[in-house]
Amino acid sequence: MNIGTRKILDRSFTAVGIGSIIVMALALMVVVVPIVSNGIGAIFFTGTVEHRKMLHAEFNRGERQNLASEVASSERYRTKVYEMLSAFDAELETMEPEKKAQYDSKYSQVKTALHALLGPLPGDMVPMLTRFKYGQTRWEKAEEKLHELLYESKWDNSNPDIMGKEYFVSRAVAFEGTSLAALFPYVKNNIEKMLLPEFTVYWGFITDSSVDSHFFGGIWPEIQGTFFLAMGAMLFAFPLGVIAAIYFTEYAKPGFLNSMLRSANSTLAGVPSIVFGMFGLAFFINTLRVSESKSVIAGSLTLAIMILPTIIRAAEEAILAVPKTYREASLSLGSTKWNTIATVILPAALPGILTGGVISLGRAAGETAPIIFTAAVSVGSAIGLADVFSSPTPALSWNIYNLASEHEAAAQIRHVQYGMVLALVTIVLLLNLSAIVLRARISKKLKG
Amino acid sequence: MTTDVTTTSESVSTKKATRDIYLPAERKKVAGGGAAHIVAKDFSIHYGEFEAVKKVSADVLSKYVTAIIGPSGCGKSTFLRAINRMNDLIPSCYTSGSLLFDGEDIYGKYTDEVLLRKKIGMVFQKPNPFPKSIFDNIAYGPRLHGVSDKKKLLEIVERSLRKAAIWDEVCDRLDKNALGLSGGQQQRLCVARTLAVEPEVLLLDEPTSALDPKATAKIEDLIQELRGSYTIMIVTHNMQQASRVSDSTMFFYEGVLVEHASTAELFTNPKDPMTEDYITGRFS
Repeated sequence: MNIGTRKILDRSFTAVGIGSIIVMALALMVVVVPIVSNGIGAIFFTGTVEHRKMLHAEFNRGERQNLASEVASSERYRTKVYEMLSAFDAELETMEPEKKAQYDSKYSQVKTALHALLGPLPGDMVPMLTRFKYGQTRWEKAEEKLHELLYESKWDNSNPDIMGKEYFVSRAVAFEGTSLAALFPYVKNNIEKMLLPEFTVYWGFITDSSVDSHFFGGIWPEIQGTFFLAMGAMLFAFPLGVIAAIYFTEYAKPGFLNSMLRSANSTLAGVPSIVFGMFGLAFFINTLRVSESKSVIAGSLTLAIMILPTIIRAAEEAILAVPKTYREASLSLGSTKWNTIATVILPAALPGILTGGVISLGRAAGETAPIIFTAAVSVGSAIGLADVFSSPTPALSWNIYNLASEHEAAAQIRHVQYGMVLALVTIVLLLNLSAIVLRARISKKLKG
Repeated sequence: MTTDVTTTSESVSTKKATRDIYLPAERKKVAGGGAAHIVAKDFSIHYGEFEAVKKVSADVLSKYVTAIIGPSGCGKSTFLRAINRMNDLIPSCYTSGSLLFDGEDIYGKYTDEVLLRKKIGMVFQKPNPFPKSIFDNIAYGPRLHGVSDKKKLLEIVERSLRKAAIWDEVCDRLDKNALGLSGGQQQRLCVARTLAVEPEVLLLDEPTSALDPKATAKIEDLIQELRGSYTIMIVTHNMQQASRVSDSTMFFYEGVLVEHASTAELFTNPKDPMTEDYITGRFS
């Protein structure tokens, strides 16, 4: 090949390499940017007076006096709304039954929308669920609800060949000529005074328990559960994995049994995680009965089994990568085999072993399937360390899935879901980062 | 071609005085040295089917320097490594015949190889300090064998580093990582590390092949220093080195000990034509 062709080939390869890195970076951006921008909204957002009321009532946070004056000022504007409602109630009484019936359903829609926007109306029963005790706590949601109050959503199905089209009809038009017609422009113009939106930083999202299945409050039980599960898994898997790796590399005699064990280990690394989940249920809970039902310990054991092959592999590679000369040097000084392993080989292999361990920890923290049947519940409070043997726990991975698919009001609390995703990604990222730092520090120490 | 050599060594092993034929006349005698420290008799080493060392019989005299020369792959390193059982690390390796150290069979059923290696230290071709501080490198052996007193360890470290003629260069940075030293310094550090466990025998497996001439000269000086205190065996590719540092020389060819004689004798008046061809550089 002549020099010209070679140079062209070199250059085109460089171009392809850079191109693929750019594509990768873009793909990463596409994933990370929405996670961060949406997830951050769980902590930083424009909160309304309803949010502050909720915080005070549920978590006893905020200044009482400040809040009282805020509530009073918002009530001043709300009173007029309630007055309009009672005026219209009186007007309805005077109407003829046919005319009255015409307004019935529309009026109740208005009331529902108002309830959603501002919280329970005077005279309503105190709702059972916390989510109905307050109006909209987040300003962007309040704006949506305001739209719902002002406009009725209708579907245009006139053309049977295409899908129905949504269109909006002003509710004010329906109440033309009644005392209620004035309500719509009034609410529209005074909504800010009624809800008092204000930039809010809610760190409690990380440290609070959830209220009314994640409607309000934070994700601390999930974070703590994830931590317990991952740590528990490491507690079982790390020592076991390192010991197994030492056995494979230093003690096992090459032979049929050894190669069988090794290929079994490799196979185990490729088993889908849901299979581990089912196995955990069948083995740890139903057979060994480590706990009555789902528990942190059962989940940890299941995760441990899942990450064990990875830890063994990483530790094996790390031990094999230790130069043979270290071993020779140690043995030639009259060291026993075990001493050589403990004082020379393991310290030299430590960066690799730890990297494998921390990456496995990240994987244990992020896995959903193994804990579905063994440890996770969708709603629960933070558990104490003493409860790990008996109680299940919420966990980030499982609750993200739950909020995305099974929660009855998933659409209303997307911010919580994004917040959880961001928390999980951050935890896993921090773990991996610490692995890198740890590795660099130890390697530096070893290299001098 | 080995017959006359092996018969010689067999006959001398019975009469102590005649062992002096291994010692060059012009070199100083070592007081208390000259006993048969390591004795091989029909000693063979196999790697599976392959016989790497074939029926070697030889005496290694205590406190003197014995060099082993021979072309690549002649089994000289294998023979050296057999003496402190480093070949145990190779699963397919086994031995036959006998190899005695102080009259005890190195490959005996009840021999403790850990104890043996404490008495027979080894320095390898490539400097191989541990990725630890200089102090910890030297103190590694003594610590293994139960010395934990910091003062005593420091004493041992200093003594060993002085013996290895590297104390002056490293005394102010004992806590620095040993991998920061130059190749020659690392190799002398490895010698010091071996000396720290107070062995009786020092096996040097091509200790200068990875070093520059200046560092090589220092190692050779060091060997001269240590002669008389330790039984030293050195494998080398460099015939000048062998003639400079050793009292007796073994020449190996294809696993066979062709000739074993005093260094002066072997280099000036080789008995075997093969030896002559090798030392005159007709093959290598």
